[in-house]
Amino acid sequence: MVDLCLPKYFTALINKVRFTMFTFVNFVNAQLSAITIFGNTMTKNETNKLLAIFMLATVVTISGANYGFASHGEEKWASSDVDYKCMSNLYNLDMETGSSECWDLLSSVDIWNGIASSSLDFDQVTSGQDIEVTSLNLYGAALAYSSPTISGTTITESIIVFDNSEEWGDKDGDDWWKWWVIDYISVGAHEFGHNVRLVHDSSSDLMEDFTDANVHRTPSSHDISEVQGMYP
Amino acid sequence: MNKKIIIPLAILAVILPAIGVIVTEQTDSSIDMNSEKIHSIMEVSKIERSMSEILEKSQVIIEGTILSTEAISKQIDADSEREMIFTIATVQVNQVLKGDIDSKIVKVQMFGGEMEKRIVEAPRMDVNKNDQVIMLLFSDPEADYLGGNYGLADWDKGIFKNENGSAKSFAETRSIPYDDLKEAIKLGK
Repeated sequence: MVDLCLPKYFTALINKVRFTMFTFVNFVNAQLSAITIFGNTMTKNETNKLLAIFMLATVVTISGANYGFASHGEEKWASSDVDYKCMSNLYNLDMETGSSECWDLLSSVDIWNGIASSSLDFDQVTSGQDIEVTSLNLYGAALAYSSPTISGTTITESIIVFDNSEEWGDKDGDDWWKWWVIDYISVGAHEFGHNVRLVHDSSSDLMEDFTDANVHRTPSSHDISEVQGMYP
Repeated sequence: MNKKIIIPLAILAVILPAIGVIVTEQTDSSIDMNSEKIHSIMEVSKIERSMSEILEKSQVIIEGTILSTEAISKQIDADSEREMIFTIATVQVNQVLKGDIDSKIVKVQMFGGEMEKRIVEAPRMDVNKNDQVIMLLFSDPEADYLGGNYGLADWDKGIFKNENGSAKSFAETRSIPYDDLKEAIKLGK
């Protein structure tokens, strides 16, 4: 299967062009129909007036349609350097990897930091954070969630919360042998993916909304291309 | 005669673009950029569970009436610079369908909500006063600091609201008779 993977802005541009053409063709059709039906009963002057009104309406509609598209789904951080902090509750996670949870989280962040031709850089800080990473008892109702705050088209801050009632581990590393483990690198990478406004996508291994235990997931070429498009 | 034709067509030419703009705005802009409130959207990672698994996992399942809802904001981490929004639903218990509870009124804490200056959209059923609901819950004594002693056992399938006799959840688009669902849960089907 061919994976037609286009950067987000390019996809938005195609949508605009497609919608503009759709609107234009329909309005021209309507105008031609009206003139065909009523043209014989009008003087030339009246026909011209009607045409002018229709042309104006076409311009207004297309402008309005494109205005609607312009504000959709293009939210991003003001800078490609995004800082996160591991909060105190994060250390309630049940990880038996022998190192600190925050240190382990770096592996999931590195998936995004390592994308070629992208300036996106998640950095761990101890103050002045853009993203707070923490944990709560979600009782398995969700493995994790992230909640970016949007102002206009800018992400201003965010929080990532892991469920501290899960059995977390590194399925691709030390915990490969365990019969039930939730891969924190995959879930962490998924949540950080939301923080660059990647949405749930059933065609993406990593960004699919549902996951299973005992799986390690990786971003698709589409995810990578989106990040490259948003943070060149 | 000609004016009679031109005037309605001219009106139509103005109304149609206006409708076009409104429809485009509503369908393509998930965030109301004109809103003065600060907007957050919760994106959730889950393990896919069947309805029977969720029912089994729920410690308590009640059928009740929403008495009130209140959004609160709490700082979760001592070292945090921001607060999270939760909604506490006070529910009058009409029937206990699974488990044991010792009160006729329970407080259920749910993620997300709307406060004066902030909206946090969570993927869950929105509930309001007087709504009749079936709630799939877990008991969370540690969550007392949030003001609720129960949490939803599943976010998008944890609340079924009675809408004209049909049970509606956030995730389920198919219609299930509310009373049938209540009976099936009670019988453990």
